Amino acid sequence: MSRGFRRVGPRPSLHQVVRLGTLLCLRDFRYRYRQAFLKYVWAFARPLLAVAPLILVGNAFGLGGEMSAGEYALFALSGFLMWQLFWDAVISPQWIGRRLRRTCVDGPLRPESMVAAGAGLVVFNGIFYAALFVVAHVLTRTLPPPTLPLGLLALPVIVLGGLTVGAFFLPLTFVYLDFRFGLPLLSPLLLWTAPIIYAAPERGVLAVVNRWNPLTYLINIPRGWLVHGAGADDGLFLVCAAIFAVLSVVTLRYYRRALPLAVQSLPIR
Amino acid sequence: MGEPVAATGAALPVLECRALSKAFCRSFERGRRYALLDILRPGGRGVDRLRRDEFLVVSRFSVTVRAGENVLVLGLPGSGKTTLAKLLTGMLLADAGDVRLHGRLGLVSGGKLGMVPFLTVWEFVQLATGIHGAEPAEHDACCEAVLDMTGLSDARDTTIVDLEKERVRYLTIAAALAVPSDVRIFDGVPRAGADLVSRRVAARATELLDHGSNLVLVSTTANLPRSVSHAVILHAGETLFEGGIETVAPVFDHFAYRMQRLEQQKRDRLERGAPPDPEPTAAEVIARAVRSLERSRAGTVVEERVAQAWRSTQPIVVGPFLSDVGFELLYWRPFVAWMRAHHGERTAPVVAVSRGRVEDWYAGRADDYVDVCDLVDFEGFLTRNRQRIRATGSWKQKVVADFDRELIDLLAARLGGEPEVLHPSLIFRVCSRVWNATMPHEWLAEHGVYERFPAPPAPVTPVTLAAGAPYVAASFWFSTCFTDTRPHRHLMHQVLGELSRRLPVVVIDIGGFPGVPESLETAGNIDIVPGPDHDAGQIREHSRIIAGARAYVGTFGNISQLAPFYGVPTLNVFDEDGGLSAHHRRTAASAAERLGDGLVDIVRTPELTPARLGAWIEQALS
Repeated sequence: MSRGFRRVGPRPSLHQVVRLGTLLCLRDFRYRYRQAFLKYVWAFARPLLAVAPLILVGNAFGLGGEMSAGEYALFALSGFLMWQLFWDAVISPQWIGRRLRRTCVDGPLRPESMVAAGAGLVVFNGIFYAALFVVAHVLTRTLPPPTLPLGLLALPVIVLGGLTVGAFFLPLTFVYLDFRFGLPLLSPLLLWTAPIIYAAPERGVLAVVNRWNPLTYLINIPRGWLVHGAGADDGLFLVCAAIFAVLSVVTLRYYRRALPLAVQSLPIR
Repeated sequence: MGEPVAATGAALPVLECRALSKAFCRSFERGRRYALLDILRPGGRGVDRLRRDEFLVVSRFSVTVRAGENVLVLGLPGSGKTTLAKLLTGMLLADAGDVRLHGRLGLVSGGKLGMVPFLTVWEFVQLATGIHGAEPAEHDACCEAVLDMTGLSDARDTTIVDLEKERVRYLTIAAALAVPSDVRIFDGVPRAGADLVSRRVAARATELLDHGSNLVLVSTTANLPRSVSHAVILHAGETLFEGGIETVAPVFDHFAYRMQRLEQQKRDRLERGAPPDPEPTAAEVIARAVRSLERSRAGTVVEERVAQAWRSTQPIVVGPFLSDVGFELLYWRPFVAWMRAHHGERTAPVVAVSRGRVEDWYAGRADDYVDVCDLVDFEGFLTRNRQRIRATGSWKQKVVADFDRELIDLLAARLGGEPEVLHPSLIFRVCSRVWNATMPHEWLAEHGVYERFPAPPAPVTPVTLAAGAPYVAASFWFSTCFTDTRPHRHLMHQVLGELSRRLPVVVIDIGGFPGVPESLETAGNIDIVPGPDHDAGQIREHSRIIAGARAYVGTFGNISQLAPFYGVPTLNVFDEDGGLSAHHRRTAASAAERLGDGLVDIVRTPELTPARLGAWIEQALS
């Protein structure tokens, strides 16, 4: 008996995947926000309410090091928003996938379209985050540095990194919900092991942990481009981006193979 | 898109599948563990060694679909057809094998396909066509085609939650049919119902099937594509038999029948607590079906007997028909018409003999009609027919009984000579072969002429109706396929209530009609006419009542077969596939199709929702 399976045939174009992803994203919005009274206000409120206490506490405990209160607020908010962008990219394919389980059983839904839909959710949230970022700059009367375009160019890399992690976990959450339950627990771990809402320490255990956490380079360096300007270790962002690019290709191959296997184990017929 | 079937020349493969295998796990928990292992382990696993609780749901399945051709996969429910469709479309991952696609693959199947109530119709149609692989450039055109097909163009901006369920039920299937593909997999073939949308959807499916380049997965041989180049019988994921459709379809019918019987016998033995008998394997059942088909010459024997009678110079007696009205209308009378159409005019007369004074049914196909009650008195007929049924053990005229002989003798004396007799047992003999699937169903279609009956005079009864006043006919009784249950009684009362609110209703009580409840407000608008045992000419009277009605509604079977012959809109209900009901439904549907574009709907009771009933009545009475 032959081993393994091979399927040769045309794949959907990127345009097709993006279009379907947009439609799935729209479906998710309708599902989520039509049932809410405050509608899209939640998209603003969620990150704002999450970061506000962190800024307050961070200021109180001097997490910003030498920074003034206003500088720290901008530092923490921008870092948090970028981290939130990354985390949204991790978690949004799970949201989309969770609501499309029946559809995966019913019809020939392309696996890639679910990740594209997840990306759509991230872009939607990103618009609100950008608005918050601009408001923060205005309130703190700070002008963005000349490296701002570099920071903006880095945002898709952050999203790609998050989607890569999200696409890895999506099939697994179809099989065991433990992965879905466990992912939110990962969120504070990732937040606190990278210098996102505190100034990077120069020595100690936390400095070592920061150094080995890829999020340090993925978020901290672009945040610097958006808030302060260029830094000494900025080249490491490119290394980090290259690693995530390779990982995203590997994960896409894994994901295309894994999702049909995961669909098979769903308790839906 | 592939070329139409007739125009196909080179016939390049559009879908090739080799040794496709897939294992499923019987245990849900263990299946999830296996899925996790398979996800995290790179490369294919193969199916050389099955793990604990695993079984092959598809085993080494191979098929090639060429451009312009249809390949048919026949399989009982649970045989692996849907899994196969999912493997080919990539919805599931096969464990072994190869799939090669040369072009875009479409899947036609049901399901809700991500429908959420807060989407507008347009948004959902965009989503559904997108899932079915519509290219961005053609996306809007596909959506418009779906809206046209489903008649929802005017409701494109309405949210699904604000629409009736009935209106959106065909959206997903229409989306599957609207998206262009080079090869399609039909997981079941959409059937036309009474409503316009289902007819449009079925017509589109037929158009695509006529075009070719399809893999069609079905569980019955009813409603097959017109052109099939190759057919396969799939059972427990394995190909049991394959070949041309003309061989495979009757083999499958026989196989399905035998498997159903074996299942029934197994259940009976279990209920009795009897030890299990050794059962033949599916492959043995197939082998037996093939042998049986090769042996079966019943059709030829019947054809030869008819030809022999036609060559004779003696009068021919077709009859006497003493059995069920439904059988007479669906099988016997069309066969008589075929004999006449096929063999032509003759010098000596063809005399039709039946009961109920139904000479109108044989007008133009027999030179003369003799009613059984012209040969024996009505009471004598009822008594002797009951004796015949007791003696032969069946209502059906499978053999020439003493009473038949007695009638033939009386008729011979009347005609003055020894007539050639073409007894209804001829058609019963063929039918029993068709029903146990050792003869193809097509024999009946090829040897039957279905034609409208001439309009008869107005009925004598019921007396309460003013002459020429419009009314609706109905007939309900309980049987194996419409059992006496509370929901069925409720449905019957609901139907009578709905009908009698609009027009007077004449109920033909052929026996077993439970009556009109007093609680029905419009009970005064309902007349009940007695059954065939009431009078020698009562079936003729029923015939006239139905012919003059604006619509007919009732239990499937018997007198209900009559309405389409008069072009009267007909709604027949049934619940379970009791006895031979499925065969009769297939024949009735085919007859209705050949009788013209009259509104004939045969509906399973759970599907007859109040909305659907109301819509049908409105359409029938409009």
